[in-house]
Amino acid sequence: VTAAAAPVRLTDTPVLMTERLLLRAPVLADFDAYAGFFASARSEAVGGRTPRALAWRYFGHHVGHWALRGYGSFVMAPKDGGPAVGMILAWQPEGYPEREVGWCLFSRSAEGCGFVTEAARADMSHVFGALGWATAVSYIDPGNAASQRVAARLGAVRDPAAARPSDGCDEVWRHRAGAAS
Amino acid sequence: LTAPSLSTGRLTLRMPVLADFEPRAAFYASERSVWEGGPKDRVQAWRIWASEVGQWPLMGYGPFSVDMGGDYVGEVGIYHAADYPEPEIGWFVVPEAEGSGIAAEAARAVMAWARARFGWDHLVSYIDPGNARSIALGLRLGGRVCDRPGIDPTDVVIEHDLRGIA
Repeated sequence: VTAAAAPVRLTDTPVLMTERLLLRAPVLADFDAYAGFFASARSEAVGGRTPRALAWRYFGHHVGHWALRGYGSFVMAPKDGGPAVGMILAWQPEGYPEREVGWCLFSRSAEGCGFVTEAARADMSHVFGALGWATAVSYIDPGNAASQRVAARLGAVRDPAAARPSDGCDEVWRHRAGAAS
Repeated sequence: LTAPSLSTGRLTLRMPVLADFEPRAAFYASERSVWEGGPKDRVQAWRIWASEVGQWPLMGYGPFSVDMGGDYVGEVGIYHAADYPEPEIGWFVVPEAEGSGIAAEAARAVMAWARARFGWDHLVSYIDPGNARSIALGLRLGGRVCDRPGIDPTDVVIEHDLRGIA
Protein backbone atom coordinates (compact mmCIF):
# COMPACT_ATOMS: atom_id res chain seq x y z
CA VAL A 1 0.00 0.00 0.00
CA THR A 2 1.30 3.43 -0.87
CA ALA A 3 -0.11 6.76 0.21
CA ALA A 4 -0.31 9.32 -2.57
CA ALA A 5 1.75 12.50 -2.39
CA ALA A 6 -1.21 14.76 -1.67
CA PRO A 7 -1.45 15.13 2.12
CA VAL A 8 -4.63 15.21 4.11
CA ARG A 9 -5.65 18.86 4.19
CA LEU A 10 -8.08 21.16 5.93
CA THR A 11 -11.33 21.68 4.13
CA ASP A 12 -11.42 25.24 2.87
CA THR A 13 -14.72 26.51 4.22
CA PRO A 14 -15.61 30.19 4.55
CA VAL A 15 -16.03 31.99 7.86
CA LEU A 16 -18.58 34.82 8.01
CA MET A 17 -18.20 37.56 10.61
CA THR A 18 -21.01 39.60 12.05
CA GLU A 19 -20.95 42.14 14.84
CA ARG A 20 -21.14 39.48 17.58
CA LEU A 21 -20.81 36.12 15.83
CA LEU A 22 -18.49 33.95 13.81
CA LEU A 23 -20.35 31.74 11.35
CA ARG A 24 -18.24 28.71 10.49
CA ALA A 25 -18.60 25.08 9.39
CA PRO A 26 -19.39 22.74 12.30
CA VAL A 27 -16.56 20.98 14.13
CA LEU A 28 -16.67 18.01 16.48
CA ALA A 29 -16.73 20.21 19.59
CA ASP A 30 -20.09 21.67 18.46
CA PHE A 31 -21.86 18.32 18.65
CA ASP A 32 -22.76 18.48 22.35
CA ALA A 33 -24.60 21.79 21.92
CA TYR A 34 -26.30 20.44 18.81
CA ALA A 35 -27.34 17.17 20.48
CA GLY A 36 -28.55 19.16 23.49
CA PHE A 37 -30.87 21.11 21.22
CA PHE A 38 -32.26 17.91 19.72
CA ALA A 39 -32.71 16.43 23.20
CA SER A 40 -34.81 19.42 24.24
CA ALA A 41 -38.39 20.45 23.59
CA ARG A 42 -37.01 23.34 21.50
CA SER A 43 -36.51 20.91 18.60
CA GLU A 44 -40.27 20.46 18.21
CA ALA A 45 -40.45 22.60 15.07
CA VAL A 46 -37.74 20.54 13.37
CA GLY A 47 -38.92 17.01 14.12
CA GLY A 48 -38.98 16.86 17.89
CA ARG A 49 -36.88 15.20 20.57
CA THR A 50 -34.27 13.05 18.91
CA PRO A 51 -31.94 10.41 20.38
CA ARG A 52 -28.25 11.28 20.42
CA ALA A 53 -27.41 8.59 17.84
CA LEU A 54 -29.82 10.11 15.30
CA ALA A 55 -28.74 13.66 16.20
CA TRP A 56 -25.23 12.53 15.25
CA ARG A 57 -26.52 11.54 11.80
CA TYR A 58 -28.14 14.97 11.41
CA PHE A 59 -24.96 16.71 12.56
CA GLY A 60 -22.62 14.62 10.42
CA HIS A 61 -24.97 15.19 7.49
CA HIS A 62 -24.31 18.95 7.73
CA VAL A 63 -20.57 18.36 7.64
CA GLY A 64 -20.78 15.80 4.85
CA HIS A 65 -22.89 18.26 2.88
CA TRP A 66 -19.97 20.71 2.94
CA ALA A 67 -17.65 18.00 1.64
CA LEU A 68 -20.05 16.77 -1.05
CA ARG A 69 -21.63 19.98 -2.34
CA GLY A 70 -18.92 22.51 -1.51
CA TYR A 71 -21.22 24.74 0.51
CA GLY A 72 -23.22 24.16 3.64
CA SER A 73 -24.50 25.29 6.98
CA PHE A 74 -22.80 27.31 9.69
CA VAL A 75 -22.76 27.18 13.43
CA MET A 76 -23.23 30.50 15.22
CA ALA A 77 -20.25 30.90 17.52
CA PRO A 78 -20.06 33.92 19.85
CA LYS A 79 -17.01 36.02 19.05
CA ASP A 80 -16.32 36.36 22.73
CA GLY A 81 -16.05 32.58 23.17
CA GLY A 82 -18.27 29.89 24.62
CA PRO A 83 -20.22 27.14 22.91
CA ALA A 84 -22.13 27.57 19.66
CA VAL A 85 -25.53 29.18 20.18
CA GLY A 86 -27.27 27.97 17.06
CA MET A 87 -27.09 27.05 13.43
CA ILE A 88 -27.66 28.85 10.15
CA LEU A 89 -28.55 26.67 7.18
CA ALA A 90 -27.56 27.03 3.54
CA TRP A 91 -28.04 23.62 2.01
CA GLN A 92 -29.93 21.16 -0.16
CA PRO A 93 -30.32 17.69 1.32
CA GLU A 94 -31.66 14.86 -0.84
CA GLY A 95 -35.42 15.26 -1.17
CA TYR A 96 -35.37 19.10 -1.08
CA PRO A 97 -36.59 20.48 -4.40
CA GLU A 98 -34.32 23.54 -4.02
CA ARG A 99 -31.79 25.15 -1.72
CA GLU A 100 -32.84 26.19 1.76
CA VAL A 101 -31.68 28.88 4.14
CA GLY A 102 -32.76 28.46 7.73
CA TRP A 103 -31.91 29.04 11.35
CA CYS A 104 -32.26 27.64 14.84
CA LEU A 105 -31.10 28.66 18.30
CA PHE A 106 -29.92 25.86 20.55
CA SER A 107 -31.12 27.31 23.85
CA ARG A 108 -33.62 29.77 25.23
CA SER A 109 -30.83 31.81 26.78
CA ALA A 110 -29.73 32.92 23.30
CA GLU A 111 -33.21 34.22 22.41
CA GLY A 112 -34.33 37.79 22.22
CA CYS A 113 -31.02 39.45 21.43
CA GLY A 114 -31.21 39.38 17.63
CA PHE A 115 -28.66 36.65 16.98
CA VAL A 116 -30.79 34.92 14.35
CA THR A 117 -31.50 38.03 12.32
CA GLU A 118 -27.86 39.11 12.56
CA ALA A 119 -26.60 35.72 11.40
CA ALA A 120 -29.30 35.16 8.79
CA ARG A 121 -28.49 38.52 7.14
CA ALA A 122 -24.86 37.44 6.82
CA ASP A 123 -26.04 34.11 5.40
CA MET A 124 -28.19 35.92 2.80
CA SER A 125 -25.24 38.06 1.75
CA HIS A 126 -23.18 34.92 1.43
CA VAL A 127 -25.60 32.85 -0.64
CA PHE A 128 -26.75 35.71 -2.87
CA GLY A 129 -23.25 37.20 -3.08
CA ALA A 130 -20.34 34.78 -2.96
CA LEU A 131 -22.42 31.74 -3.95
CA GLY A 132 -24.38 33.62 -6.61
CA TRP A 133 -27.79 32.09 -5.88
CA ALA A 134 -30.80 33.90 -7.38
CA THR A 135 -33.27 32.53 -4.85
CA ALA A 136 -33.61 30.30 -1.83
CA VAL A 137 -36.45 29.06 0.36
CA SER A 138 -37.07 28.50 4.03
CA TYR A 139 -39.24 25.55 5.06
CA ILE A 140 -41.07 26.69 8.18
CA ASP A 141 -43.55 24.84 10.38
CA PRO A 142 -46.94 26.60 10.06
CA GLY A 143 -47.05 26.90 13.86
CA ASN A 144 -43.62 28.47 14.24
CA ALA A 145 -44.52 32.14 14.53
CA ALA A 146 -41.05 33.21 15.68
CA SER A 147 -39.41 31.75 12.59
CA GLN A 148 -42.07 33.27 10.34
CA ARG A 149 -41.27 36.70 11.80
CA VAL A 150 -37.59 36.22 11.04
CA ALA A 151 -38.39 35.23 7.45
CA ALA A 152 -40.62 38.28 6.99
CA ARG A 153 -37.98 40.55 8.50
CA LEU A 154 -35.48 39.20 5.98
CA GLY A 155 -37.81 40.12 3.12
CA ALA A 156 -39.11 36.60 2.39
CA VAL A 157 -42.71 35.99 1.32
CA ARG A 158 -44.87 32.88 1.43
CA ASP A 159 -44.74 30.89 -1.81
CA PRO A 160 -47.67 28.48 -1.76
CA ALA A 161 -46.95 27.30 -5.31
CA ALA A 162 -43.43 26.10 -4.54
CA ALA A 163 -42.64 22.39 -4.33
CA ARG A 164 -42.01 21.07 -0.84
CA PRO A 165 -39.62 18.48 0.52
CA SER A 166 -40.79 14.92 0.00
CA ASP A 167 -40.98 14.27 3.74
CA GLY A 168 -42.49 17.49 5.09
CA CYS A 169 -45.59 19.66 5.39
CA ASP A 170 -43.85 22.94 6.18
CA GLU A 171 -44.78 26.23 4.51
CA VAL A 172 -42.41 27.56 1.89
CA TRP A 173 -41.04 31.09 2.32
CA ARG A 174 -39.26 32.54 -0.70
CA HIS A 175 -36.13 34.70 -0.54
CA ARG A 176 -34.78 36.47 -3.61
CA ALA A 177 -31.42 38.08 -4.21
CA GLY A 178 -31.68 41.79 -3.52
CA ALA A 179 -34.86 41.56 -1.49
CA ALA A 180 -33.21 41.28 1.93
CA SER A 181 -33.02 44.44 3.99
CA LEU B 1 -9.88 17.06 6.49
CA THR B 2 -10.50 14.97 3.45
CA ALA B 3 -9.45 11.40 2.70
CA PRO B 4 -5.96 10.69 1.44
CA SER B 5 -5.63 8.70 -1.75
CA LEU B 6 -4.44 5.10 -1.26
CA SER B 7 -3.33 2.73 -4.01
CA THR B 8 -3.31 -1.08 -4.05
CA GLY B 9 -2.58 -3.49 -6.87
CA ARG B 10 -5.93 -2.98 -8.57
CA LEU B 11 -7.63 -0.23 -6.63
CA THR B 12 -7.58 3.44 -5.79
CA LEU B 13 -9.18 4.51 -2.50
CA ARG B 14 -10.19 8.18 -2.38
CA MET B 15 -12.45 10.82 -0.85
CA PRO B 16 -16.12 10.22 -1.73
CA VAL B 17 -17.75 12.63 -4.17
CA LEU B 18 -21.38 13.45 -4.87
CA ALA B 19 -21.72 11.02 -7.80
CA ASP B 20 -20.90 8.12 -5.46
CA PHE B 21 -24.28 8.61 -3.82
CA GLU B 22 -26.14 6.82 -6.64
CA PRO B 23 -24.65 3.36 -6.00
CA ARG B 24 -25.04 3.90 -2.24
CA ALA B 25 -28.71 4.87 -2.69
CA ALA B 26 -29.25 1.84 -4.93
CA PHE B 27 -27.77 -0.38 -2.23
CA TYR B 28 -30.03 1.06 0.48
CA ALA B 29 -33.07 0.73 -1.82
CA SER B 30 -32.34 -2.96 -2.37
CA GLU B 31 -32.79 -6.07 -0.30
CA ARG B 32 -29.01 -6.23 -0.01
CA SER B 33 -29.24 -3.59 2.73
CA VAL B 34 -31.39 -5.75 5.00
CA TRP B 35 -28.36 -6.46 7.22
CA GLU B 36 -27.75 -2.73 7.65
CA GLY B 37 -31.23 -1.67 8.71
CA GLY B 38 -32.57 -1.32 5.17
CA PRO B 39 -34.22 -1.01 2.79
CA LYS B 40 -34.11 2.78 3.14
CA ASP B 41 -35.37 5.52 0.83
CA ARG B 42 -33.12 8.11 -0.83
CA VAL B 43 -33.67 10.75 1.88
CA GLN B 44 -32.63 8.35 4.63
CA ALA B 45 -29.79 6.92 2.56
CA TRP B 46 -28.45 10.39 1.85
CA ARG B 47 -28.49 11.37 5.52
CA ILE B 48 -26.65 8.22 6.57
CA TRP B 49 -24.10 8.44 3.80
CA ALA B 50 -23.49 12.19 4.10
CA SER B 51 -23.02 11.80 7.85
CA GLU B 52 -20.35 9.18 7.19
CA VAL B 53 -18.60 11.35 4.61
CA GLY B 54 -18.79 14.11 7.23
CA GLN B 55 -16.61 12.06 9.53
CA TRP B 56 -13.57 13.12 7.49
CA PRO B 57 -13.61 16.80 8.51
CA LEU B 58 -14.90 15.93 11.98
CA MET B 59 -12.59 13.04 12.93
CA GLY B 60 -9.91 12.66 10.28
CA TYR B 61 -11.12 9.21 9.22
CA GLY B 62 -14.13 7.90 7.37
CA PRO B 63 -15.27 6.05 4.26
CA PHE B 64 -13.09 5.73 1.13
CA SER B 65 -14.71 5.34 -2.25
CA VAL B 66 -13.02 2.53 -4.16
CA ASP B 67 -12.24 2.81 -7.88
CA MET B 68 -11.00 0.08 -10.18
CA GLY B 69 -9.92 1.04 -13.69
CA GLY B 70 -11.71 4.38 -13.28
CA ASP B 71 -15.01 2.84 -12.20
CA TYR B 72 -16.59 3.13 -8.78
CA VAL B 73 -16.78 -0.39 -7.34
CA GLY B 74 -17.56 0.17 -3.68
CA GLU B 75 -16.77 1.80 -0.37
CA VAL B 76 -14.49 0.64 2.43
CA GLY B 77 -13.54 2.67 5.44
CA ILE B 78 -13.81 3.50 9.09
CA TYR B 79 -17.24 4.25 10.49
CA HIS B 80 -17.77 5.84 13.88
CA ALA B 81 -21.27 7.13 14.54
CA ALA B 82 -22.29 8.30 18.02
CA ASP B 83 -23.77 4.92 18.95
CA TYR B 84 -20.71 2.91 17.84
CA PRO B 85 -18.61 1.82 20.83
CA GLU B 86 -15.43 2.36 18.82
CA PRO B 87 -14.29 2.94 15.20
CA GLU B 88 -15.44 0.19 12.85
CA ILE B 89 -13.98 -1.03 9.57
CA GLY B 90 -16.78 -1.75 7.11
CA TRP B 91 -17.17 -2.57 3.44
CA PHE B 92 -19.58 -2.36 0.53
CA VAL B 93 -19.15 -3.45 -3.09
CA VAL B 94 -21.47 -2.87 -6.04
CA PRO B 95 -23.32 -6.04 -7.12
CA GLU B 96 -21.33 -6.38 -10.36
CA ALA B 97 -18.04 -6.44 -8.43
CA GLU B 98 -18.99 -9.02 -5.82
CA GLY B 99 -16.75 -12.05 -5.56
CA SER B 100 -13.70 -10.32 -7.00
CA GLY B 101 -11.82 -9.81 -3.75
CA ILE B 102 -12.15 -6.04 -3.93
CA ALA B 103 -13.47 -5.58 -0.41
CA ALA B 104 -10.63 -7.62 1.10
CA GLU B 105 -7.99 -5.81 -0.92
CA ALA B 106 -9.38 -2.40 0.04
CA ALA B 107 -9.88 -3.39 3.68
CA ARG B 108 -6.22 -4.42 3.99
CA ALA B 109 -5.22 -1.02 2.64
CA VAL B 110 -7.49 0.79 5.10
CA MET B 111 -6.14 -1.27 8.03
CA ALA B 112 -2.57 -0.47 7.05
CA TRP B 113 -3.40 3.21 6.71
CA ALA B 114 -5.18 3.29 10.07
CA ARG B 115 -2.26 1.57 11.76
CA ALA B 116 0.25 4.00 10.22
CA ARG B 117 -1.89 7.11 10.75
CA PHE B 118 -3.28 6.52 14.25
CA GLY B 119 -1.21 3.67 15.71
CA TRP B 120 -4.36 1.73 16.58
CA ASP B 121 -3.70 -1.87 17.64
CA HIS B 122 -7.08 -3.17 16.47
CA LEU B 123 -10.25 -2.36 14.55
CA VAL B 124 -13.62 -4.04 14.94
CA SER B 125 -16.36 -4.90 12.44
CA TYR B 126 -20.01 -4.89 13.58
CA ILE B 127 -21.97 -7.41 11.52
CA ASP B 128 -25.54 -8.68 11.71
CA PRO B 129 -25.49 -12.40 12.60
CA GLY B 130 -27.49 -13.12 9.42
CA ASN B 131 -24.89 -11.55 7.15
CA ALA B 132 -22.85 -14.70 6.56
CA ARG B 133 -21.03 -13.26 3.58
CA SER B 134 -19.68 -10.31 5.53
CA ILE B 135 -18.75 -12.45 8.52
CA ALA B 136 -16.84 -14.75 6.17
CA LEU B 137 -14.93 -11.79 4.79
CA GLY B 138 -14.08 -10.56 8.28
CA LEU B 139 -12.66 -13.96 9.14
CA ARG B 140 -10.84 -14.26 5.80
CA LEU B 141 -9.10 -10.98 6.63
CA GLY B 142 -7.68 -12.66 9.72
CA GLY B 143 -10.23 -11.29 12.15
CA ARG B 144 -11.71 -13.30 14.96
CA VAL B 145 -15.06 -13.12 16.70
CA CYS B 146 -14.63 -11.35 20.06
CA ASP B 147 -16.78 -10.30 22.99
CA ARG B 148 -16.37 -6.54 22.66
CA PRO B 149 -19.72 -4.68 22.68
CA GLY B 150 -21.60 -4.21 19.41
CA ILE B 151 -23.93 -1.45 18.23
CA ASP B 152 -26.80 -3.86 18.77
CA PRO B 153 -26.50 -6.56 21.42
CA THR B 154 -26.93 -9.22 18.73
CA ASP B 155 -24.09 -7.96 16.51
CA VAL B 156 -21.26 -10.31 15.67
CA VAL B 157 -18.16 -8.31 16.58
CA ILE B 158 -15.03 -9.27 14.69
CA GLU B 159 -11.71 -7.95 15.94
CA HIS B 160 -8.86 -7.31 13.52
CA ASP B 161 -5.42 -7.28 15.13
CA LEU B 162 -3.39 -4.50 13.49
CA ARG B 163 -0.21 -5.03 15.47
CA GLY B 164 1.36 -7.23 12.82
CA ILE B 165 0.95 -4.50 10.21
CA ALA B 166 4.11 -2.44 9.83
